[in-house]
Amino acid sequence: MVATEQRRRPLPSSSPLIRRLSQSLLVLPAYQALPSVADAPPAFTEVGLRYTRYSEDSIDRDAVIFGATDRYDIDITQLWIEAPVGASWSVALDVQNDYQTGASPWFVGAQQNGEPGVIMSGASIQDNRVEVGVTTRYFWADGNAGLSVSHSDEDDYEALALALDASWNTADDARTWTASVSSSRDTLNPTQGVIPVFISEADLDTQSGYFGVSQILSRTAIARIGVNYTYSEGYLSDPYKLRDQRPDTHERIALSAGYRHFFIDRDAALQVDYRYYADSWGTDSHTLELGWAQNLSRSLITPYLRYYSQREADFFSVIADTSALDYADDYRLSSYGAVTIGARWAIAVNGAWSLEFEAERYMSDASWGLFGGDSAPALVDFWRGTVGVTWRFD
Amino acid sequence: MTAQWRMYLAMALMVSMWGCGTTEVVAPFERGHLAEQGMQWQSSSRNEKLKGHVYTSKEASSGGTGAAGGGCGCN
Amino acid sequence: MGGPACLVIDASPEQSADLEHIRSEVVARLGALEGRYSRYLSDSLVSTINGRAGTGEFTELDTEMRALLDLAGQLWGASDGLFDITSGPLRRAWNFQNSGSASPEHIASALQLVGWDRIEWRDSGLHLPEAGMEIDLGGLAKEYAADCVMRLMREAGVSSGMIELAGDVATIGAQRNGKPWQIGIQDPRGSGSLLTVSLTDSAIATSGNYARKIEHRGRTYGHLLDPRSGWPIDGPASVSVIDSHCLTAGAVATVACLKAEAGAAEWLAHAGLPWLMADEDLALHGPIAEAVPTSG
Repeated sequence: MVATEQRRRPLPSSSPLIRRLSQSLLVLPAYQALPSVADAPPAFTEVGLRYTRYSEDSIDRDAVIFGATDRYDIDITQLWIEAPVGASWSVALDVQNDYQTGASPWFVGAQQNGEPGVIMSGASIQDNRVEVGVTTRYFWADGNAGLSVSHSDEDDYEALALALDASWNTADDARTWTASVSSSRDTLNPTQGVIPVFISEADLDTQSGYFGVSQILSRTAIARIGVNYTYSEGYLSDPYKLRDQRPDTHERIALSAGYRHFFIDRDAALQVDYRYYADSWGTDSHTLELGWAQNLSRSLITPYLRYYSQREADFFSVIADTSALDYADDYRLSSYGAVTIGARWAIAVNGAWSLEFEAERYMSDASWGLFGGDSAPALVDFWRGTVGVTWRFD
Repeated sequence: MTAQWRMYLAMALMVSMWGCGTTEVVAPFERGHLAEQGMQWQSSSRNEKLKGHVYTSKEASSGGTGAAGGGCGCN
Repeated sequence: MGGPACLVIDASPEQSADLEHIRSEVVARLGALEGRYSRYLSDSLVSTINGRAGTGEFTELDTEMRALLDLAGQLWGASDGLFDITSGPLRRAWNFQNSGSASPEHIASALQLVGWDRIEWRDSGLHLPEAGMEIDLGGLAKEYAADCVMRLMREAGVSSGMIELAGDVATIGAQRNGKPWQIGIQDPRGSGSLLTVSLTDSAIATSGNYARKIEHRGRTYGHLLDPRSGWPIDGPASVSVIDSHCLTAGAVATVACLKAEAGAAEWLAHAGLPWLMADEDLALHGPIAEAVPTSG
């Protein structure tokens, strides 16, 4: 995803009341030692480091016909530096490393009792992915525009992406328009390992565009809507699955709506986000996310709840029908529902240092879905935990 | 066919929502609450990117609030 | 803006040549601010706005005026309408200079001319819809002036300095001997000080019901009025607040003085800045009093 939001405002270190009072004054030179909220490059250089542990639950022994029950664990490290350049530019460098171990379903077959079961991909794989991205952003009085280039490299997959985004405010600053476009070229070179792979190299091209608007509704409410269209052409199957033959084009539309409401007496914000997604493979889905961002004296704690439900792809079946034109037994294309419960805690240690912690639990089940369909045997549950530290200096 | 139809119907609905709804005029001095960190659309761009990445690689859906970026071998 | 001013710059002998230059710049800056925000000067920006009340003519606002009005609006909202820069007509109805009393009819008719939410805004301008309405930025402009002087001195390279404008004090750094600035908080009833606080790179603003008094039906009130009822407020004798800037400190202290003592303490705790409150009997409350032994 390309970030098309306005830059995050730094977590202030004083009380919400003083922050609000100070905000009125930031346009005046006498107070401009404080970080500015206008569309201007950050007044400081920011260096950040985040570490995330992603860990999938072992697959249920009863659902496995053959192979290990351990699934993926991923260690993700994000490092970035973002700095102002001159009066109206900023540059950010992002480096991300993902180290992944574990096994994944190879194909689904029938067990002796007639129930579908998973044949896992044998020995644990290890894969390291490094993504490097550079974003330059230009700020003017009523908006900002960014250009970013990113490159992702791993043993068997390489992706190069270019994105351009802009957001601008209307004259009364009550409405902000956002648009972005991106293009990416992915190249697969599947590694020949324990499981046989039937291609040696394949390409995938993706074009995507987003257009959205956010509108201030009242002094405590703001809403936005947006539409995202993405078109991919090329090799879209999963080379590490035995029975996976997908169309070579994929059209996707995502409609999103968001709402934020600040409750003054509670000193907290309600966050509501909804997305409807539909694609040319017959999948559509609803995603609803609710958060409660509670201000504490020097920190912000945000418990959140996410519900997701998708309809299976036209060519999905629990046990793939290889006589069809397209077929897949990938659980990710089945009908199911998923619930995420999580919390995020951002702490301003002082003006220069801030910390963040986040933990979430993701659980999925075919019976939680809104759409009908047969239940796939390998739905995933996972934990994710993130710790991060950010340092700002002039 | 049905899939295509769903997509374009949704898009048409979206366009027709344009311009609906009323808003009150909020003067600049009344925007303090809107600047609260909890009122932002995302907690941080790095967090958003990571969450998007995790969900996109485990679910059939993707996209929503920005243009898609480059892929990876995880999905 | 009235009241005494005192400027201290703690400089090494080599820097002394610049001092006269800095002093004259400070004086010029203060004069310019007074020329904009004083309601006593007939050609000030504030007087222009007030003079156009009820005429339908809008007055264009520049960034500085806009920001100060934004702050006034924030305070109006945060104090549920207690802090209101349009409450001038009430003050006239009570006529503090003379008898210090008012008839209910006078109050009622003055209230017709009060209300921040009645100000008309258009693009970058404002208009007071009725003749007799007025705005008074006196409660904010003095503290703003102190912050402007701090900025000016910092830009001029001053690393140790202090300005006092009628009881509000802003400091740069510590004294050159390394000791914090020692600031006495004025006793609202007497001529001495309630206590002395040590400050570096920060400001302390004091707001209170001292200086002017009214007597009504056998009770003594401060000069502060509730713009919603039109009646005097039975608030704390004095409130002092410390912040990095004088204006935010002063805004918090001013609103506290408009509330009864319990409400004032709650407001001050909500603001989260160090504070000191002297109640009716001059007993001291708040984090500053707890941290500093009284000097008396």
